[in-house]
Amino acid sequence: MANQIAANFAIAGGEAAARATAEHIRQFWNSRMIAAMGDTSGLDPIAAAAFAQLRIDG
Amino acid sequence: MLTEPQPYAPQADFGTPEAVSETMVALTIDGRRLTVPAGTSVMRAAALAGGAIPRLCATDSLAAFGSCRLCLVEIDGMKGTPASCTTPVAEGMAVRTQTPRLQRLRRGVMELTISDHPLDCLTCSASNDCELQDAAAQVGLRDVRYGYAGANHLDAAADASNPYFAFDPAKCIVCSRCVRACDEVQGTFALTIAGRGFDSQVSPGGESFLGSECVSCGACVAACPTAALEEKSIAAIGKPERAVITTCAYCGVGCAFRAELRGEQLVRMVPWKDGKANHGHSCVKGRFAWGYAHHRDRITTPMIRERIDQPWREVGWDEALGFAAARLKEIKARHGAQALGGITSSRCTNEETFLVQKLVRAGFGSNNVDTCARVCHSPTGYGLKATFGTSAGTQDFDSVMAADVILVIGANPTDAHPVFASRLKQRLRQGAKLIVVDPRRIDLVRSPHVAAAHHLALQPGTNVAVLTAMAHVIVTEGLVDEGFIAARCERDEYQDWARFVCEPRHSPEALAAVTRVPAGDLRAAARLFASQRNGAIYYGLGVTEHSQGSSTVMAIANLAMATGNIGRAGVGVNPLRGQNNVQGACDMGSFPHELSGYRHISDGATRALFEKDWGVALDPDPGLRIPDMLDAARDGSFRALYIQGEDILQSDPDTHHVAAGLAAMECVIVHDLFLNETASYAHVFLPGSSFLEKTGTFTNAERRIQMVRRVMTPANGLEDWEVTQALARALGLDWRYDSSAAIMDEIARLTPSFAGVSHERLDAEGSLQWPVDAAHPDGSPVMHVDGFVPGPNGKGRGKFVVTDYIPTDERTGLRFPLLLTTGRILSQYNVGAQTRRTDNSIWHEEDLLEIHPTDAESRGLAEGDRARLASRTGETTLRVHVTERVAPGVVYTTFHHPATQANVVTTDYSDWATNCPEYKVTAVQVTPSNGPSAWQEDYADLTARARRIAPAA
Ligand code: SF4
Ligand code: SF4
Ligand code: SF4
Ligand code: FES
Repeated sequence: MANQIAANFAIAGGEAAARATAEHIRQFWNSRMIAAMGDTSGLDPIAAAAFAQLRIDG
Repeated sequence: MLTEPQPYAPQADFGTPEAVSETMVALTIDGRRLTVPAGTSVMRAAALAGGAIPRLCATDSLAAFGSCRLCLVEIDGMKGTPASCTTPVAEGMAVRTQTPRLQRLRRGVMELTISDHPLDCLTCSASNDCELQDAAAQVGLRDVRYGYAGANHLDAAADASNPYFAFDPAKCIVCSRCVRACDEVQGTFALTIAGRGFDSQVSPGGESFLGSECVSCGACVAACPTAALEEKSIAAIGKPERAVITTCAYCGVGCAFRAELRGEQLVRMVPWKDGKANHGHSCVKGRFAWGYAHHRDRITTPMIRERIDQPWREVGWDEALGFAAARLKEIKARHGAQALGGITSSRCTNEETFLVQKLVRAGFGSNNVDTCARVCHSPTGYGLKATFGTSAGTQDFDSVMAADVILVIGANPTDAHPVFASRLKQRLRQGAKLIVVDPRRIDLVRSPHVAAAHHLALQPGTNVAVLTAMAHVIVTEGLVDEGFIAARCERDEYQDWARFVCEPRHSPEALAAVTRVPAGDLRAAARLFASQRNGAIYYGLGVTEHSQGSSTVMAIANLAMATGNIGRAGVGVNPLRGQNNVQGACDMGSFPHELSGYRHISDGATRALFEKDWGVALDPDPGLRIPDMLDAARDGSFRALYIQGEDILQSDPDTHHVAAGLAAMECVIVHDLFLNETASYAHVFLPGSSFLEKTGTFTNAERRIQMVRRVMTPANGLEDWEVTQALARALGLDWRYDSSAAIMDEIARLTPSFAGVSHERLDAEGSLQWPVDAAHPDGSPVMHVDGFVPGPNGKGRGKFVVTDYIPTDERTGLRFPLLLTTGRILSQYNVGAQTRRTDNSIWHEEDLLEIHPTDAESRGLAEGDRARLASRTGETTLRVHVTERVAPGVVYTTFHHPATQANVVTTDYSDWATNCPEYKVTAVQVTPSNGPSAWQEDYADLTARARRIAPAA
């Protein structure tokens, strides 16, 4: 699911795409679903960067 | 005024349609002076002045025809006796409606008519409600000189083939109103007057009404002045004694009806002429298919069981609610609030939906509330909010009458939104141009007197590619409305978007490989859309139910902004909503991440407003969506679900996934009219009330809020909002609503766009279109007139969003070479729980699989053969219908019957932004088969067991 979201924002380009993906997930996902993602390094790089941001922002 | 039941009287009929004009004309009728708009007929003017010129062929839903010659009048300075229905008023005209000469002429006309009409008025089902009787009384008919000795049609056989109305040619006066209603109002052209002179007769073409093109809309029945075309229920029950205005509970058109009753027995539903969504028209569902409300399958007693493998036990309300509350509390104590959730229904009223989400947020303590709108129009919410700032269609239905070019994409209005489709066809017959984007050749592409200028039969799943290619043509060929964009939209975002669509890879030629739409057609369609003054876009589930549903909605919004088609009549972006209250369910805060009025749950100020009103703290974290709840149920963290008026097992994709999720829960409460498919997994069944048994509001696809009114006592004793309130009270919440009006007051208090809405106002004004607030005190037929709704960034400018085409993960391959897409048909409604329980089944006994002749032939399948339909997810069997409506490589079916279980086959792929399931694209294989699939057999067995009810002890 996260990869699919990232793919749809990818056109915005690296950093911006990751920000948009993170914001989208923050708006629509329950925080426990975000926490339950566990190791996200295997995801598409944009999605992985988005989760890294979400973790920093808490 | 509308609240109180009215004693029965036919709806007012002014003889000819209303004329709209700025110019007013003064005249005198029988010495009375009056002023009416230019273009008004003398007949209508006389009716407006309180008179009634006798008439037979005229009625105000149809253009004047001037054939019966009963409505003659004398006009000073005019020779002869002109027909008042076809004579327009003129300044200074002096009209006399009653003179000895007129009386003599009219009697002659009446005598001729009556000489071929039976005189058994006393036993006629239309007696006392018949315009022929009225006319005879008005002209003072006292005897019939011609007698019945001559040839007549009194023995002609009646046609009772339609389940809901009968045609008795003996009572027909050949006024042709029915023929004209079918042509002008409905647009089906099913009827003709066959023969000439004395031999003329109404003919449905073909053997009978049932065997004809007739779609059973009832327009001809409503127009008929006699008992020749009449509802069978009138003959069976008798003339109604009172009428209550209410709203259809089937689709998002939201037709207003008069429920006409004797005592508490519903005699018929007649479309209400003053209904602003339907203007007196209807379709077969709302008009006739209400028998389900008293079907013997309906459950009216609460039931409980410890485990779902046990039979149900009938109990009283207190016991059922106590049992449910105890389980909910116990689960909450053990697993926390997040283990509880609820599902609201777009079939229920705004008030009921609001209460269910309030129960979840304030009572359960989680935001785990979702709605089945998730599975149909959630991408509309997301996409229109991102671009226009708010989640709603921009126009009222009447707006279509000002459109010059109409783009219909992923919608099949003649089947799914029939009353709107009739309006659309009226406009097309007036000359507006039509572009259809749909994998299937839907009826609109070619039907009597309507033909699409372009049908882009795209490969399912490529909507975004087609819309991007259209945008490419519009931008590269300089067809953009620069003025609109400069004045109304964010400049930078527009430029990013324009640069993106101009890339050569988005040209129709480049994209034809994936869309399979010939580039020339696509270019011509784009030019046509951009070149007309008013371009309107209408779309449906064929847009939203895709992995890029939200992107498609945004691509549509981009196209409308680029061509300047926003903010006036005749233009706009119009989602055609599926169920009656999809719009309302979304407005009322049914989604886990937002409160009513589309305000995010993390917004502290909004939350504070609700917390103060409700006296509880709310969780700022978005809750779980339906698929998330089902996943969480399987891993044990989600355990209790209250489902009002929905059948998620049948309507949600990937039935296996839903079944496994439900089976893992400890407390499933189903609140519905019937033991639906989901109830097989329920522990508590709370009987629901039908739309005839409760008061509240629905909001249709044009944001129009209309009253639903209780016309009879609920069979279960309680309206649905009362049941939700009782459950809340059993859980210890101190709710004290004394009426659904009090709930609406709370909604208005907490929701800015509903600020001016109340039942009192709706009773007085009929309907209101939100936003109804300080800036729009009387509501908003057209949105974004002077600027877009200011979004969170507060600027009120339209936002272009770049929508990149990303193919779905669902691919055809060697094993699954065909693409399945799904839809619905006119006579049935969604999962069919209502319509299957009416005579509508006569038109649709089972779901059929449409397949192109070449695909059928290569598989050795012929019309009517049983086929196995398999996808990566599951398989089912159904009969095939071989047709060129679908392109080679594409198959199509409906999902109205549980035995078919088409959703066993669909996957759980979904829209990237909203998780709206991808019903419209599934890779499948079709092979010959000789019987039901193993799943169908298991399922039939399971359902039978799960529905057992223990005999009363
Ligand atoms: S069936 Fe009714 S409406 Fe039609 S021509 Fe006969 S009388 Fe007129
Ligand atoms: S019911 Fe509707 S479609 Fe059928 S003949 Fe009458 S007007 Fe035409
Ligand atoms: S189903 Fe829709 S179109 Fe038909 S009567 Fe009801 S609201 Fe109108
Ligand atoms: S009503 Fe005017 S001619 Fe029939």
